[in-house]
Amino acid sequence: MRTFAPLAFALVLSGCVLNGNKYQRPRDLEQPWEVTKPRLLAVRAEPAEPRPGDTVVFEALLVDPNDEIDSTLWIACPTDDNLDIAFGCIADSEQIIGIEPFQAPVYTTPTDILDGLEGQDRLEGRYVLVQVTGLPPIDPNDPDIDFEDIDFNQVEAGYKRIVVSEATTPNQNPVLTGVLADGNAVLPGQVIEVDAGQRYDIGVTIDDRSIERYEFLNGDGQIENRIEEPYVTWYTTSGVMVEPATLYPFLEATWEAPDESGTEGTIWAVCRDRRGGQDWLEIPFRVR
Amino acid sequence: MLLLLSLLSAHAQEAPPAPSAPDPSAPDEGADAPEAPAPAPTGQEGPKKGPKSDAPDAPTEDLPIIKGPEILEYVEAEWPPGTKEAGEEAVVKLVIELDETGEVASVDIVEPAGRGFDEAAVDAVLAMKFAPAETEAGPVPVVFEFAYGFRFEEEPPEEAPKPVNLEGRIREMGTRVDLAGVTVVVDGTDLSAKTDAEGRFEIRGVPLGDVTLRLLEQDHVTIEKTVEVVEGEVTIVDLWLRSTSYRDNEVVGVYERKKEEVTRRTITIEEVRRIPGTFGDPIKVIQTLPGAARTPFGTGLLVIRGSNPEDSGVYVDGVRLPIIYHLTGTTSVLSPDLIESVDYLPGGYGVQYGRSMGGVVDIRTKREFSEQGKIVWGTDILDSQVYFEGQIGSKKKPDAPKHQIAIAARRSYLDLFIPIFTRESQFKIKPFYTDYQAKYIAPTPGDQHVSAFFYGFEDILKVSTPDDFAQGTDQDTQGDLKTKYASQRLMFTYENEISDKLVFAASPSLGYDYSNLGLGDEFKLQSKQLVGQLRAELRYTPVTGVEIIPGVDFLGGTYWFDFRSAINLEAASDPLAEREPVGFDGRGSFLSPDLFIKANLRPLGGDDRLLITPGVRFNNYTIFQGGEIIGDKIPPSTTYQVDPRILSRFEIVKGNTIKAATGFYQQPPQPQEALGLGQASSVGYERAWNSSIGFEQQLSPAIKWDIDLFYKKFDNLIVYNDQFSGRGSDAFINGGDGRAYGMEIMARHEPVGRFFGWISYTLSRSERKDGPDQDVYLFDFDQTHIFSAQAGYDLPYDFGISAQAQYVTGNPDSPYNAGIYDADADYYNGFSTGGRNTERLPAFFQTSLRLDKLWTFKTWQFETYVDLLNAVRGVNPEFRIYNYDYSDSAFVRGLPFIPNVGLEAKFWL
Repeated sequence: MRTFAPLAFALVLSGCVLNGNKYQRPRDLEQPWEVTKPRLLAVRAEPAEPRPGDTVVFEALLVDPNDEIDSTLWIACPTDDNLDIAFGCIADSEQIIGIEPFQAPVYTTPTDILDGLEGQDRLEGRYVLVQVTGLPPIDPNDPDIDFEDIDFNQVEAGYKRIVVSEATTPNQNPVLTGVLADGNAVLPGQVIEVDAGQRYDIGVTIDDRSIERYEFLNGDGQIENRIEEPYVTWYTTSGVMVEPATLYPFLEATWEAPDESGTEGTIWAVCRDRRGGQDWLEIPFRVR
Repeated sequence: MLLLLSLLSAHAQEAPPAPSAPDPSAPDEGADAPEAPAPAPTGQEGPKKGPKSDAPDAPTEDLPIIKGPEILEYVEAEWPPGTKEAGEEAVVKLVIELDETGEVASVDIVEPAGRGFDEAAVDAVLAMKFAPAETEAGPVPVVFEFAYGFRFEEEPPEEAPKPVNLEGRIREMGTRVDLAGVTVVVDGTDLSAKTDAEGRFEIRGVPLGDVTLRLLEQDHVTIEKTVEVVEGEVTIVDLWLRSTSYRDNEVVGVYERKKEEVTRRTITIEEVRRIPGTFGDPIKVIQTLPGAARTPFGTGLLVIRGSNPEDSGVYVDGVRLPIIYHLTGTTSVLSPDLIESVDYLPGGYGVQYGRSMGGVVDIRTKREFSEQGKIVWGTDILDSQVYFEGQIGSKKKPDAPKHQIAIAARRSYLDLFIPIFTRESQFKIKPFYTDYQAKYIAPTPGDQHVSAFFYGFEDILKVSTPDDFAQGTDQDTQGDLKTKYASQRLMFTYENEISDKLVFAASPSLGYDYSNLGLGDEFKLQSKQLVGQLRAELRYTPVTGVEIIPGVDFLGGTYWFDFRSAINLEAASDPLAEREPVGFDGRGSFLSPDLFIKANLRPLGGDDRLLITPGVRFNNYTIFQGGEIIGDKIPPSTTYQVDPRILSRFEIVKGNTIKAATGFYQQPPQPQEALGLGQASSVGYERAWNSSIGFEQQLSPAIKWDIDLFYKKFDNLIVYNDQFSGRGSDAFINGGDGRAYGMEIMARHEPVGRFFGWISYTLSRSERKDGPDQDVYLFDFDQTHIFSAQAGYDLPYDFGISAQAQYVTGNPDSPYNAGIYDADADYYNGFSTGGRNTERLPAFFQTSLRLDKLWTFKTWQFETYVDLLNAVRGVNPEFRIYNYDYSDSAFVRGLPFIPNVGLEAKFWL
């Protein structure tokens, strides 16, 4: 027993040392609010809820802190009623609606997209799926390119739905009107100066008209008057976003500045109205 | 009186005799002392008698006799009529011939005594039983002389007894049990005494002055105590002895049930309570036994021989329970002090167990409580518990049956401590559990048992945030999370041994289950269930070796559930869909009066060496459903199935048993799977054809090992119906199948002496297929290798040390390759180009240590222990989780290194 006890103790200690950090922990994973690589943060369609035959202009908030994205491919296709919404358009030339920076994404909704729908269903409309893919330096016009072979770890891909309808109160994109830092207004494009490691309340203001009222025909066949409930999600290139999402009317999030002096970066605030409308603001900062 | 004189000499007929004593119990040997007394083989009072022998006569040839003949059963001769009264004595000299089996071949009178003594002596010898003489080659015939004496022993003159001047009482420390059979020796004298049933002794004529008493008893520590004996007085002493192992007092679980199952493993309670990592919970030990897969920490699931967690049944006193562990998965819902035994049957069990395709855990509560009364209080890092047991009855009738009761209660304090450690967080997490039990055993005659047992538990988890906390993106998910599960059961047990051939047993019970899951005011799922069960069987033994056991296993009840959500299903999958509240309720009842009959056949004259148990079980259930979710009234649906099974065990030579079993095991669908949506559900029983073969060997009284090979074929497994189209169709169908096969080995050292422990190893594979055109995939808990070892050792001074180690292959995992961003919902959808469960998590390795110490005082005991759980800090990956875009992953780890400190105090009343 005299030799057993020290042996067991040594085994315990060696186990502590050898096994302690063998695998990554969940807390080590990158958080959604951390922008360290190409990220698609939002996609806006204007108008947000077009009618059949309308032309829609798209814009993506595709941030690229390390300049890894060379081009952005846009594809659009109407969806079948029974088709689950997913990354489902076929990348043929008819469905490509834009290749940035060469061709801005513009899409004209089919005039017959609501064919087959009647009455209330036409007011509710039908989805068009828009796919956005940020690509590394390749030539998408190269006829030898096979999109099936694309490594998804090298691209940033996402999608958005647009509702094509004959709604009497079609959705509008929300409009963010300004930035607040600890309650003080920040001018558009102004770089906010912060102290290392300090916490700040970063907020946005929203045009009250963005909080839309609209009608909804519920399952019991009755019309309900509803009010939008927008929310803001927050992203940053450095520092810590203590509250990564805020729900209207709370439009301020606590952010902790990076510890290193001289650090420059960006905070993004993206507002969504839950009906497909989106808007965003960019807040550059520098640590004193 | 009879006096056996001696075995005078022995003659091997074909072998030279050896100079050996025919009976090792004979103290004196030598032909010149033929009438020397020897110990009486029968232990009777009176003149001493016994065989004596000298060296046998000259050898004849070949091998020497290395073992002489022995008297196995001595027979006293009848004194010839009138001789005893006349005071006549005699010695009859005989020559006895034994064959190689020890049978008396002939008896010749060499020196007759006449007067009828010769015939009496010959009759007595012919009735005796002998062991044959032996050479190195084995038993041989032998001839030897034998003197049978008829003698009176002279009575020694009686002395006047000296007065008792020392008396006392001896009790065991801690338990205060009166100790019978303790030898009290007065040092330096030949005076001694033994304690009676009340622990009392008295000694006459003890020398005056200081005398040293030595107290001797094999299960207690020998002590010496000096007392002063005063002239003219009776010195009265009160003495205490320490048990050599108090822990053995707790081994109430050392119980042997007739082995009717192919593989039934019974673990004693004390073994289990000292295994680190079990938190002292006997039921936790199941997860260390062969065939049981390791399940994620905190879940408390039972995955046995490749079956789903819901496929295994847990019974307490014959009544099936829905849940056996509290929400932490670390503690069972029963007090460990109330548990007598835990039987683990991974497969190959009889028809009395049904509605399960997996294994069975059969827990038995104590059937007898301490007469003295005992209170136990225990606490560790999770909870505190108190337990009482005792008997109530008239002191005027000490031998009459008494009322016996036990009461236990436990409460966790995680809800009190966790907020202290999470003050910085805005989330307030409050897990809480409590359980309570009471058992009453009625005073009944010995051939009957009547008891009532009530238990209940409640598990609650609350996660709340401040009202002004604006976390998340969804107004409909801002409320506090609250879950609650509660269950109660009232069980009765009645057993009556009506006759030697007929035993009746019945266990009716009534139970109530309640569950609630809520998220603020926006989401609520509630259910209630009232359950009645009846298990009754008749054990009839028409002839030796045949038992016929018909029985009924009834399960029935009513249920109700209510679901309310602010978010409809469409909105849950489409972020732009308008939300509408959704809600429905459902209600129904079910009846499942299963019947079974089996026979225990022991063809070898009723001997347990060969046991064949054929049986058949008639399964059926009927479901009545209603409520908003059902819609229009639907007719009740009834389903029948039959499970034939046969089990057998054969002890080919003592301690070596082969065993085999095969049969069908079917289970009804879970309630949610059998829900009829506008029409009666067509979902029926799931089925497993389970076969196993094995061997077990008892290497010594303490050590045994066994091996089992099993093969399980699943069919009619319930899977999601991908053709489900809403009301009017079935959400689930019996479309899946699969298989599980493997090998289990276990070697065990029983808690004999200071050491106990076992090692087990399972090699297995379990696969599933969700339809005829689907791919085969690994079962979610498929673990190729499961190795487990645990051992404990009693150190001096009531210290104990134990250790546990476990190595398990990682669970299958379905990897994601990347994520695609949904810009409307602000989250990534993961996608995988691989199949289901095509990879594995890293292997699991965990070692835990425990050190305990017991202090014993005169009226109570105090034990403290330190469990070093996961002492080597194994990584223990339980789940893989991905980052927001599925480009990276990490493992949620299981039990971290935890030093669990526990205390337990026992008070005897």
